[in-house]
Amino acid sequence: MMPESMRVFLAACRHILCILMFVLVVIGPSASAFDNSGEGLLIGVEPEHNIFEQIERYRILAEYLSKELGINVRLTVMSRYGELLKRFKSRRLDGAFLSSYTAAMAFKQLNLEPVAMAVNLKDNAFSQGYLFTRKDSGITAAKEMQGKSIVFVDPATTEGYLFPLVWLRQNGVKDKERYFSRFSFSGSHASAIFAVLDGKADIGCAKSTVYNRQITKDPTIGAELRIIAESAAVPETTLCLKKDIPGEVKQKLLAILEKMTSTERGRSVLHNIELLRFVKAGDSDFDGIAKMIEIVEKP
Amino acid sequence: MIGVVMTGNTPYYTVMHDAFSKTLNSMLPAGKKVRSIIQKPFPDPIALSNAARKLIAADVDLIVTYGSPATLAVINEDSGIPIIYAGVYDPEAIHAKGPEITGCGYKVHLSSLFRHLRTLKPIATLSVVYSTLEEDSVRQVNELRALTKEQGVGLTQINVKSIRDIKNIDPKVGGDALFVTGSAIVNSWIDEVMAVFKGNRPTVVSIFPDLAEVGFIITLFQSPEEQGEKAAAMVVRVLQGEQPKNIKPELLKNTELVFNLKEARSMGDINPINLIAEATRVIK
Repeated sequence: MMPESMRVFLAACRHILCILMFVLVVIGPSASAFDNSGEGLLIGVEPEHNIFEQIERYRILAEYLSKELGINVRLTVMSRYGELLKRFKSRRLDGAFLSSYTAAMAFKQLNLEPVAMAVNLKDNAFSQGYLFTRKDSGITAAKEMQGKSIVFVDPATTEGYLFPLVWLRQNGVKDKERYFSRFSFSGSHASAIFAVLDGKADIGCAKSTVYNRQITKDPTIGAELRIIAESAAVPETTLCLKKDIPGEVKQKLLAILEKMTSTERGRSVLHNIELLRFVKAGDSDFDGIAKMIEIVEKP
Repeated sequence: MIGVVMTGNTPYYTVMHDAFSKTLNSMLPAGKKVRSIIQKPFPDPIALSNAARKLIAADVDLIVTYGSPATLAVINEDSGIPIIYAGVYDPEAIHAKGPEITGCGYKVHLSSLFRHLRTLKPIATLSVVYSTLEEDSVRQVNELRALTKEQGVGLTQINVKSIRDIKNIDPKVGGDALFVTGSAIVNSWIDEVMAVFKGNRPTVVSIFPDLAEVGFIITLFQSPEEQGEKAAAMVVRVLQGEQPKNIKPELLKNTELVFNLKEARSMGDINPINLIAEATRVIK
């Protein structure tokens, strides 16, 4: 067996990587956060599975928005889901591209409001949560999950934590710590999928867009997994801004995002960030998440 | 007194047995000791059968087996002596069941290991090293054959039954990657197998950990220590009077994925980011 020191080394590397991502990955030229005089916007981004690709893709978006908006827009990739809620104020962020759960929490805690939703290449601004197992596990229902292991994505995700908790509750499982032999958090949707494929966990959850993307890349994944449950659709990625940012800045930003499809440069940026377009977002898009939170918070 | 039959002299089973012995000693009541007779025959059915018979003749209280071939050899003797197995690949497939049999097996999803390999580099031809003397190794080849056929990948089988077979391996058959099965014979002679490909070093993946540190690039395996510990706990229960039929067999699923980044870098143009993210351990 390899020495424990290697495991420690890997953990240290991951930790350092997270810190580096948080400290250094501010995409775009240096500037202060938005100060009501139009000097700059600092927008947070939640991390994806491949942080390096993500940094490059979002750098292009930051450049585009800076040019079109006439103010300096910087995007900073956070170290993990939910980090944004903790760091929003200390990082002096003006807004963020948020997954649905973080967005719902940010409306309450940080006085943010939804501005624009990203529409993915499948022409969908929404994703679903999937709960899945390996087909050869024999698990098809909640009652067969007792004593097995489950991998969630992160406590700050709708598809990767909130939805499975709701589903488990609706299927009679209130105490996950007692019901499962082990539960863990993978940190990314793709990792949750691989954890189940590899046998590190019996049950996993992930958002549909990532799940389907993995199957498109490698159809054998679909042949080995079985989806047990699907959530209602929730917004996948929403640009949310502080309510105190001037309305004209928000409207201009929304207009720029909505019109990206009408210029060659805009389309090129959308292509790079793997989106079809942006559309206006509203509070009602998040009603389903509020209901889910209510179910989970019930004693 | 307990008897132990190990399938060959493989590091994987040796580590398992070390964990077994340590756990057994720690679980026994103070002052109580258990004597053991250990057999590590070459994984040939006759040699394994002889090893089992020696233990039966020595009138051991129970027999601990490591690996499918050793387990099957002891089961076939039908002695009525309790059998606790460990390190058996997918025990259900060999019907390792009976009133006097229980133990701890493992299962590795070969498709997953193959998938991780393909994220690293394109694979048109895969070579697999196995031994027809070991049925678990043969089962793994059968699984791989179905998998590669389904994915349009060529499969070259390298059967190792003796050291002479290794000397006869054509170094050019390495293909795009070499898959080392859980064969005790192959893993006992892994240095010799790797030496064949010296100068034309293949990308090697395995379902056993790289205990000999020969440079497997990806390993997906179940902990040998955990299996040894679980087997020891079962042995203690049997020694205390429980019937094996009342002890539920276990199938380990806590997989470890180890990625050898140092070796992978020597392959040149690769994209290891997904493996770095998914591995439970990265060797740098």
